[in-house]
Amino acid sequence: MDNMTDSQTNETELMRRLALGEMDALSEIAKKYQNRVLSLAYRFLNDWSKSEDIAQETFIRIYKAAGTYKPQARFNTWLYRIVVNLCLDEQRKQAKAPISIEETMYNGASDSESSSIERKETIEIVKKAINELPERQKLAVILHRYENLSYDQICEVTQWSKSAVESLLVRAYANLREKLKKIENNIK
Amino acid sequence: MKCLNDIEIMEFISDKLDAERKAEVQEHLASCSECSQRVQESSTLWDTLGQWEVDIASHNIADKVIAKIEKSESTRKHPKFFARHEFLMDALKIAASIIIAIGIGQKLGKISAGEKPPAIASNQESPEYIAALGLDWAGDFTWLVMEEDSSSQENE
Ligand SMILES: [Zn+2]
Repeated sequence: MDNMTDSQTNETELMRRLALGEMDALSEIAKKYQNRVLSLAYRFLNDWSKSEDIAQETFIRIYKAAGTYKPQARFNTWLYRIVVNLCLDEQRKQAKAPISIEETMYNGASDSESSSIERKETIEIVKKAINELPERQKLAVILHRYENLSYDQICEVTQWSKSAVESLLVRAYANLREKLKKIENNIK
Repeated sequence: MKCLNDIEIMEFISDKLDAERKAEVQEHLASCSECSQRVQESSTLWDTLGQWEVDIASHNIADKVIAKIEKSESTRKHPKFFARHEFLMDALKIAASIIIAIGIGQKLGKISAGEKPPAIASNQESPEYIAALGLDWAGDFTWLVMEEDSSSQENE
């Protein structure tokens, strides 16, 4: 949190260079933020190929917006807002179209390996529990738990009210606690 | 200090409270077993959720994005190419009409040089002025003269 201001100054400078057409600046931004964008999109959508598309689209939008970028909003927040909107759009598209077998198979071979069977089972249960949450609870909890955003930052990114985010997070964690109770007992 | 609410507990566990608030919470936890219990439970949940890591090492977004942008920038330049092309087409049209004019000039030149006017196709009635110009009806440049004629009639 302490170097947030330094980082913001740096990002403002990168955006200024990008506005002048320096593609190196975009490359730097993409390298710095791609992991955050991809992990958020993947946890939310469970699909690497769609998450890649979203990540690419995010940085293309940043490139297009460089000329009009105003550093008032924290760069981080602004970037997450783009990703969140793209994810919600994609989720709504997916809700209309049935998922193909190919996509489901592609999803299977993805998460970090090198884990014991028990750990793998835990991860599968965690994934399932999160994916079963209602859309907004899912998004709030991913931003809070995995992207490490504070509850205030989640409000800024989603533009939902404080009371809405608070209630979403409380319900999401309560739901997850319920769903995961079994495995928590097994781990102990 | 009163007991912690659910959000405060999550913010405490994820270390997002400022130093002052964090100290207050720790002080409270030292004297409240109920909140300590809740913090303990939430902390376990936090750790369990944390086991879901995603491996992103194999992705290289930066290069793909830059390649995409450069590709779309080069297609955006196409209209300029077409504009230049259009100019070229205009130049070609002018050149073609000069060649045609020369062609007509030659035909007319032949007549004035006293050559015998070419025969008129027997099965077609030729407008008199076409014959007078010494052009073949349905021949080389007749359409051109006819076209000129019809357009000048429209103007009247
Ligand atoms: Zn208490």
